[in-house]
Amino acid sequence: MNTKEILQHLENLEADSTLQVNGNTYTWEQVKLAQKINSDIKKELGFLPSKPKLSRRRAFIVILEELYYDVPDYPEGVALAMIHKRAAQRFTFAQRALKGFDTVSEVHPKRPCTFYENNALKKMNYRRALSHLVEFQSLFFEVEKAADSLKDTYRDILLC
Amino acid sequence: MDEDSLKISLLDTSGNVENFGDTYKKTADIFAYLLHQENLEPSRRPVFLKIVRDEDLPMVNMTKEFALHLISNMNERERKQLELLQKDDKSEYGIENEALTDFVEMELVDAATSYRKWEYGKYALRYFIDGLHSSESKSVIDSKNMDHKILLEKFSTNLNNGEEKWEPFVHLFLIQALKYRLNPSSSNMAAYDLIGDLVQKNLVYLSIKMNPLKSAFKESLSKAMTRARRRGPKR
Repeated sequence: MNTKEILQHLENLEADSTLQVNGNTYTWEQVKLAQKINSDIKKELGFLPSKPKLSRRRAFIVILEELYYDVPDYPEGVALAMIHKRAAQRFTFAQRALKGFDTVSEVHPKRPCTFYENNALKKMNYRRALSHLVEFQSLFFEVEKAADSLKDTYRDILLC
Repeated sequence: MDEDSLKISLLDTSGNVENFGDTYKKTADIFAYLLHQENLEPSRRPVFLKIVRDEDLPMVNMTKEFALHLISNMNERERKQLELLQKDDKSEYGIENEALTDFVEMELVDAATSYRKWEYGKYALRYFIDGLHSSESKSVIDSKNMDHKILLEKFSTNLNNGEEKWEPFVHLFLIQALKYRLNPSSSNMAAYDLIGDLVQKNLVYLSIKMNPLKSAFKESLSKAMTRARRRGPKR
């Protein structure tokens, strides 16, 4: 791609006036649109399509939710190692030792209000982990029902 | 209310993050490392970790600065939590500390690679332009006799014909840098988002090539300026 084409591409990117930021705020909608219209030029620039970048814990939550959103409890013997492997296939995050969490419930409990009843700090962290996923569900989820079910969980945990 | 139309506040980068001193140094290091590490061969990552902590690389420094702005924009509760995590940390790089790394990854990296990616891109351009220290051309560029469209075209052609052969992403960075220079308040998210992507992916490359990049920018610009001045009587 020569510089003339690049200049043209940049002009095109800037043609969409809804992506102009004038005040002190912008919206999720604008963010998503901006990322979407970039994908073509990225291909031409030789950016290989890459897995979305997402923190490890959030990646785990997406995988767990997609696999088990429709069951009340995790089946016995669901190992974090397996979730880790699946998460790494879908998302990009730094590989490191898994020391902080022992079980899948510690990452993404089935009944978070009870699970975090006596630990406000952990509950707050969990809530923050969910909020980003709920806001950007279309970027991270492949199973729509799982995304919806996570949204319900998020609503619940905001209230308890 | 439609959730997509929820508002996000612009990152306030006017704060003096130098006041933080070394309080959040490890956090900023972890941030820069996490942002770029997957673009390196696994065997190169430990070296990169050390470089991030010890070396003075322009785009890496910019990235750390951006992390400090993210921190300074956090609410009180989050910042307290981070402060405690840092205080408890006894590890060499911080990255070994699971709780600290999780926090940085979730609260800072996830933001900078999604909804604040375009702000990261814009910050990188500002950093580049500020680092040029070329005030001598200011009056010429900003004069009414300068046709910005022609200037950009000439600038792009000069980049193409310059001695150094750059990758397209470098050209894109430099052209967008000039666009930013011509009108810093133009905030089109798509273009900045793209810059955010390419800076994140090429953090080390852009750092190492910073001086040749600056020269290419200045040279292409000064040649373009002499040819982009409007002819004819002043209006």
